[in-house]
Amino acid sequence: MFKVHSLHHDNRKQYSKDKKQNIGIIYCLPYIVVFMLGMIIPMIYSIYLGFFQTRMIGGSTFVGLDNYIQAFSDHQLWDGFRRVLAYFVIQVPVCLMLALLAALMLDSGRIKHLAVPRILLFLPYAVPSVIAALMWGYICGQQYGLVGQMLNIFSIPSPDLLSGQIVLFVIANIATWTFMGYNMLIYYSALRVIPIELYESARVDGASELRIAWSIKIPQIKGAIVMTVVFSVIGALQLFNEPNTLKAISPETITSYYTPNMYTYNLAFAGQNINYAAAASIVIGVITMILVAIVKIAGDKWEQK
Amino acid sequence: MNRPQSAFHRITTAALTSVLMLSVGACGNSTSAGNASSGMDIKLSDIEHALTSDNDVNLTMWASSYEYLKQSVQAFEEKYPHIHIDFVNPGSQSDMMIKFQNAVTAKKGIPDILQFGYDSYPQFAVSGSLLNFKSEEIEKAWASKYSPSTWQAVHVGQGLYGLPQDQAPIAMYSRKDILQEHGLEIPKTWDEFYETGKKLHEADPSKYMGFIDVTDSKAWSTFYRQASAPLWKVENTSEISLSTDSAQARKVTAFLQKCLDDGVLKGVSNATDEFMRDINAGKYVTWIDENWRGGLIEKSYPSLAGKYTVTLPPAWGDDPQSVKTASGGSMLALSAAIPQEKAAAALAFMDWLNTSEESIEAFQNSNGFFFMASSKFQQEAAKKKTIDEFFGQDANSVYFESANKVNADWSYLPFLSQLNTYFTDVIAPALSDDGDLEDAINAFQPKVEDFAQKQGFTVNK
Repeated sequence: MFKVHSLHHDNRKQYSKDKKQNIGIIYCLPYIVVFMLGMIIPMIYSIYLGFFQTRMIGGSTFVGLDNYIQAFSDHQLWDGFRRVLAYFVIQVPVCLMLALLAALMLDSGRIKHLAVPRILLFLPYAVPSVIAALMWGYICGQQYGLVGQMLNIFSIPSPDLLSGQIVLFVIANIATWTFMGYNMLIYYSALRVIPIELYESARVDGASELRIAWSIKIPQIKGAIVMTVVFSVIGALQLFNEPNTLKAISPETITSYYTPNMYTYNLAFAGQNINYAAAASIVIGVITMILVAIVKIAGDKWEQK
Repeated sequence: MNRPQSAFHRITTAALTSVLMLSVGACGNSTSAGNASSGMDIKLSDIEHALTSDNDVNLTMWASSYEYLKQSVQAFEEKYPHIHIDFVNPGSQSDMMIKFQNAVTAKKGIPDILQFGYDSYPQFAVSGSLLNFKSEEIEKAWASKYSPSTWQAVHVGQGLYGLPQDQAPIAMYSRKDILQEHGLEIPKTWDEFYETGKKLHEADPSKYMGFIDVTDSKAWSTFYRQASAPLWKVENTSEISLSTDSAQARKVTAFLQKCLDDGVLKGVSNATDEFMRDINAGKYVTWIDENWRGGLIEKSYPSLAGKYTVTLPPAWGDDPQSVKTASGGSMLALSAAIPQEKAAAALAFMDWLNTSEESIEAFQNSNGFFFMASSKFQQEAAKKKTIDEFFGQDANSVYFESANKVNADWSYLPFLSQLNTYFTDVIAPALSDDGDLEDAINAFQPKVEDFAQKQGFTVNK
């Protein structure tokens, strides 16, 4: 223990060094405990579960790597991956560009009562995604939804937005609506820390506001942009709430394996196939980590350009 | 910087070790899941004695229809204070199934008595989580207390897994006013249904004679049940037969395809706001569903009073008298984990709850739509002819007639939720879009077969 009364300099130095190290661990402990309980232990347990097969008749048997091999050749799992990647390609650029545009507008200094548009843009993020999906489900109803009724005024037959391939755009739309404000806030706070001197010297050189945005602001927040792209990759691969909520409205369109996460959920809770669901989750986790690493490496290179 | 790191390593190692030890423990416990329990020997005299003895017994019950059962349970506790019921509301049926599965896996917090739908308990019966209390004595004494189709529905293979509680026979709710507008009659056979629907859709393309709910397999499979074309059969707790491609089943499939193609039927989810509005607007002229739907229609669409007529659903073939119907409902089952000394008291309670006059009265007071499976209720209530104001007719007598015509030659596969997953993945798209139903069903059967085999069932084709 640290002796408060000791005034001897050498002693004190030594003690305070020890204290620093011990205190550090104690500070980390709450995080480590929760991280172990919430992430690492379940993950190890999932890996373990993946080595078994439980049957309704016959109980549990050890099957080695069978579940993992099956997951790699499971076309329903890959079907889900293809879909979330398509979703990623559609949704992420639109969402991030809108967020960037909104952040630049807020940062332009030409908006009065800045807090009002800022909170309004951020507000959808406060709506739980299940509620958001339900709400948009109503809006997209073919006959009585907002879209359908507006088209009906002009006697245009309304398309069924919750069918076929279009529903993926509806999901992308819900996610964009929800997450634009969140990404905007990250960009906006990154923009706020750029030194004003940079703008002043640019203006002295005769640069327009657009030119400042393009040549100073965006390059300065590359780090924030890379971070939001990484978050978006993870978000896209873990897509679950929106399609799962819309499935109640349109069960014939959204399959049980619509996204990888929906697939593992349905394997575990509809099919009682906990073991295979655990193995598939680990495969999804590994693929997600690889994709995140690729995006991060590419992003870092771009950042350093 | 070395010491904290090594401390972290120590923590990690300790955690890893404990995880591994936990895992080994889990492995040692998880072997007994599969053996179907072959019943405790519970004597009728024990069951009768349980009510009169003064031994204190505590029983835990989970039931999703908590609100409707509350009064009856209370009445029982007042009458037999030595049997205490710890009555828990586990949420929806699917929530309860997940909770029960978790409790069984953990071997902790398993309730003694559970309320299931007739279609959802078999999966727990075959996995050995529910008690098979079949004995000749019980069969003899109790079979006659319930309607034959419900008594059949609490059996899986040769085992007896519960006592019937209520019954939900199907009926057809038709918008008489719309049919009259087009000079059409309520159809009595499926051929008439098709002809009527075709005329209706030609006269008004925005209207359909009926719909097939695509949220789960129930509405679709009911067509086959009515037509005596079973899609599958549970032979015993480890053997099933699949017959979705039998000659009779294919006839029904072809008929449904014809109805979908000609705008007589439409596949649609009945769980949406859109659908509710469509019903109000009369887009679907008939609604075939279990009898509690009548109560819901009355509550949800008060403005449609007097416009609906309740009849039996259409018959297959030419003779309307030969109609066969279907029925849902719920039952009470015993957990296989219940101790022997409690089982007799639990059965006595279940029997009282489902068949005693006091309990039936309490049920009816809390919800008039609770259509009991007890034959006592069936005979008495059938005598009472009451005019239902909303329908302007004696709807109850239609329900009783339907209950008497239930096709009992039908079994529920012991993996309902997975079956529903395959249904919505494969068959629902063919029902709601312009798909080929027969192709979809041909793709559906191998999936069901594969799943059943992987779960350890013998599958006959």
